[in-house]
Amino acid sequence: MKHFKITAVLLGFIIIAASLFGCGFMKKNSDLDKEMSAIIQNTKFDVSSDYKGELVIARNMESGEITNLKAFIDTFKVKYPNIKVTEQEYPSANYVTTLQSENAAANNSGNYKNMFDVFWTAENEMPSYVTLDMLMPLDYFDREDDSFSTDGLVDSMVADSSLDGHMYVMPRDYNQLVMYYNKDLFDAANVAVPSSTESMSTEQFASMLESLQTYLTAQGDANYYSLDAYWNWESLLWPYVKSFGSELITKNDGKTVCNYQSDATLEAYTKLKEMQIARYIPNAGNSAMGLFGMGNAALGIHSRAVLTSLLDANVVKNIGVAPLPQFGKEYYIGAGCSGYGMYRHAPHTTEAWLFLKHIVSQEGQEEFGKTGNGVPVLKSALADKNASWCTFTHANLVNGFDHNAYVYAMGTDAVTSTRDYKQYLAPAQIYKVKTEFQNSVQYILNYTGVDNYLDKDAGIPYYIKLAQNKIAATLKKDVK
Amino acid sequence: MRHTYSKRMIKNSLVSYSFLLPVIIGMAVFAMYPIVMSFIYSFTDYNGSFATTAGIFNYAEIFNFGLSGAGREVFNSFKITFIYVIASTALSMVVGYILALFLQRNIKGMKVIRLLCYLPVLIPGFVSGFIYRDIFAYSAMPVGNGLINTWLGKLGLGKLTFFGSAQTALASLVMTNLFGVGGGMIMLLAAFGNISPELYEAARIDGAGYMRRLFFITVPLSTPILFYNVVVSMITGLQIFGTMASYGTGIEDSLYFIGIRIYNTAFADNNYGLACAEGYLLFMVTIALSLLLFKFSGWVHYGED
Amino acid sequence: MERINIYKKKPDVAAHIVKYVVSALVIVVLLFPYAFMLNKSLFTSAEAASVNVHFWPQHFEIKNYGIIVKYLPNLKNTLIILAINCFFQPFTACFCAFPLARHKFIGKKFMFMLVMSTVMVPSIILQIPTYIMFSSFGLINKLASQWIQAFWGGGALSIFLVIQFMRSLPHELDEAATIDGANQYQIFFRVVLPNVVNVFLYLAISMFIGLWMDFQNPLIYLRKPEVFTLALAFYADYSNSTTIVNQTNELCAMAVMMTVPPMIVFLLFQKTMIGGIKIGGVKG
Repeated sequence: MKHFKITAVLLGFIIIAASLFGCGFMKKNSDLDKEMSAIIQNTKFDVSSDYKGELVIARNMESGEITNLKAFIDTFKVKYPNIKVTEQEYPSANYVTTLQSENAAANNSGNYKNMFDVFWTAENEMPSYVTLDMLMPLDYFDREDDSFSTDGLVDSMVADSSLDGHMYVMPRDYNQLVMYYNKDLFDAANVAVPSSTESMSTEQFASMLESLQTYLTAQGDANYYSLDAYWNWESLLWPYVKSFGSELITKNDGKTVCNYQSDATLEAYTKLKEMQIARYIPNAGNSAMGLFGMGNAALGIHSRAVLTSLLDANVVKNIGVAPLPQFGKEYYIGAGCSGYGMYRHAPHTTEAWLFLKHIVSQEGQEEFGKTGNGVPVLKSALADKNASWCTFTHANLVNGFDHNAYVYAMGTDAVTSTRDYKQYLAPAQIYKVKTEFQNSVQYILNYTGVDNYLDKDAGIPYYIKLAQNKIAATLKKDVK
Repeated sequence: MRHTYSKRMIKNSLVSYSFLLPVIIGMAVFAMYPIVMSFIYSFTDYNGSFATTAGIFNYAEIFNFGLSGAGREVFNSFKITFIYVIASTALSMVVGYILALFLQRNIKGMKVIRLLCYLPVLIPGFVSGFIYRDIFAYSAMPVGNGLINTWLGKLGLGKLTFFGSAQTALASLVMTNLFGVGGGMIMLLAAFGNISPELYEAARIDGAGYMRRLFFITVPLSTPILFYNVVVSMITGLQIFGTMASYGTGIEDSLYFIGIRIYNTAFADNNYGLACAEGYLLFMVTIALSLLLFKFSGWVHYGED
Repeated sequence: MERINIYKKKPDVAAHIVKYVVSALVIVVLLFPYAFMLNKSLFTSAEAASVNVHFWPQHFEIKNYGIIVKYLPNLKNTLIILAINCFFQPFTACFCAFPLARHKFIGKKFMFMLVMSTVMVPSIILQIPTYIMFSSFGLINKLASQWIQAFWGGGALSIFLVIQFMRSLPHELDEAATIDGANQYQIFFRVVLPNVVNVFLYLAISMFIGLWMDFQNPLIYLRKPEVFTLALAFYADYSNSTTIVNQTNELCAMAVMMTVPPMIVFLLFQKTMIGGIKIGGVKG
């Protein structure tokens, strides 16, 4: 009896508390079109340059991002001097979770007055933001605004910034994988540097690695490697395995299946393992590109975003760039972007839309190109031989540094992105599939040895099967 | 059953509750809202931003053992967590106790020795992750091995797989936890300090040797702290998820503790409601185990003579 | 506590030697991670970026330690948080543990289980509702969010620990004071509290060590660099720039420096923590 009384009291307590706290987080299902038309009604599209307003932008605290956003904001202020722009900074470590927590708090109270209007987002975080309804579908703004069109932007980047038929992010740049080389090491090894205008074939790539390695091994320093690349990074791993013909996720008769376990994948990983055994690469690598940056690797695969960081480290003095080589029987390059989205409940939609348009405007992209941190997503700026991004220069770059490598094969079928496999997945499945995909290469490079890497039970086939099973199990789960 | 309380009892209770005021206020203001709200969330499809439907589908999902349900994985995580809690609690209790006994003497330099034993606890969390990784890393290739495997290789011995193999990962984690044994040691030393030396004197006069003094005085009188360690180790061990930053879910999910699973469900899958349901299942388990521990705590001996 | 070592005959000398060798081995093993961290703090960037690990530093880069100068302004924030928490948490823990350890009152068992149950809910799922609650209190981005929790008992585990220590105290102490006509408050402040100084200090020092290096909690609630604590300021910098220059050596230098204040506190208060205070004239 005593226990019954206690539990009854507790339950009553909970019910009372629940009714007091309210259910501000419950959302009634509503029509997106209706909501959006109400928002569009409240947004001014035809504003003069002395429009008075406010804008709050959220960003992380990475030095590169600070520079980039400053470039956009400074030029924005020239266009609209009476719009007050405030930056809200968040430590990078917890950026996504903090923004999401703030959103949860605002949803709960229904008060969005102090929320940011625009925030930076990486491409792979967009599905999560969309699930949480934090991003404004920009296609409504695009349709309403006659002066703006996404036709001037690189199509694949617009596609990457969209989900389920709505564009959620305004892409900021076109970020393609390239291969950096250390000219000093190449000269010392007496090996010809890769061509800037044409991608290397698999044979050329292999023989270049071999020649480099012969020289580096002769130096006797255990820290030297030919190639520094971040293999368990899906942006590189996906074009790599795809070039061998591997598929990760496909749709068969309307059902999403995983057919990662295939001869193509086996070949891709075996070639990678053999590169490791020949000491061209150390292991799966990391995002820091420290090996190349500290002068211990002759080649480094990364994107434009890391260029200024390499230059600032001031260790490698003659950096060159070349297009990504061909890995397998087909040629694929990975490309992606980051961009800025409008917060779904932004208090200042007029100013936010003006800013987003400004990011992909001629002035904005030109100023952004000067930072050296990115290649424009605006097609006219890409084609312009005198644009700031391709006249960017630095003492630590080789003479004749050819920025063309950053747009090599752009617009062709060779350009691929992880959207290839993510398009078949529900947002909730993406994280698990990506993790298993990336883990597979790490396990293979770390846990299979020289003598057993082809073993069915302990080598590459085992870890491919592991990834296949895990991904297939994820696909079978109920998704909302 | 209605108790009739004497006036004195009621007056005494009021005094007692006046002492409890800070913790009552603290619980009411700071603990009630999150606990109640997360309980409510567990009955909705709250994703961290909003919810659209309510029902008991989250709990149904946890107990759904089919291929499409979460049940198998949830209970697998529970299994791994239980094994970890039992192993690490038992080991750290025994090792910590022996260490504290040794550090109890007041020989010269003992102060410094105690400090040295306490140092591993002081390593900040964000550094300890890759310090331990650098020490214990395993790679089947000549490159990428941690300190221990590099030295074993130089000595011509075989490498130890530590976190590289699903069979050894959990054991390796329990082992690395032992480095933190110095933390509990301080508490035990304080507990030993509470034991009056006169008891030992009396025992020595009666001719009791070291082992007798240990098992008849030291151990019984330190059982309150031992009990504390058991309960706290269990509660905190069941919720462990800090290893995610260093080891992820472990190779082949060997380190996929229920705490990590809850975290992933909440923040990676954006399924906060289901995470809350899993959290409350963990809560029930923790309460049940704690009640068991308290019920069978007859071996704890509180200090009156 | 004094233990008089009476050296006995020969066989025990051998046992002693074995004991000390084993203990030395144990200490070396326990110290190993810390020693490695110390060594790593003296690596150059090139060594830290190297793919192969090695134990001894090849160059002694003392300048890694200069990094702390940048974060000294944040020291003030950390000290404020520490000062408030390290006193009030142990104090309220002792205060609230007193009736649970010493009194009989209506609903005692229920209160105890209620208090304990607050830590049994996994903290992960409490993250978002707690954030929403702090947000509605207006505590986001304020230093107060880090010390507001100090006054309410310091958590169930602290209270539980104090209960265990208090229950070991003999009842004669309380009874003697009651006979002398003291009320419960006087008993607490004059009789019981002085006897639990060792656990008070233990809690204070644990708080100190925990909060000194904690960046997880501040990371969630603090955003402006002016209110960052020392640990958070450093961690934010480190996680903001993770390309090219591998900074694990500077990270280790920072970590080593951060372990020094807790070490000093530990050395200073060791005796009082472990010694305990005996009340003269009462057996036991």
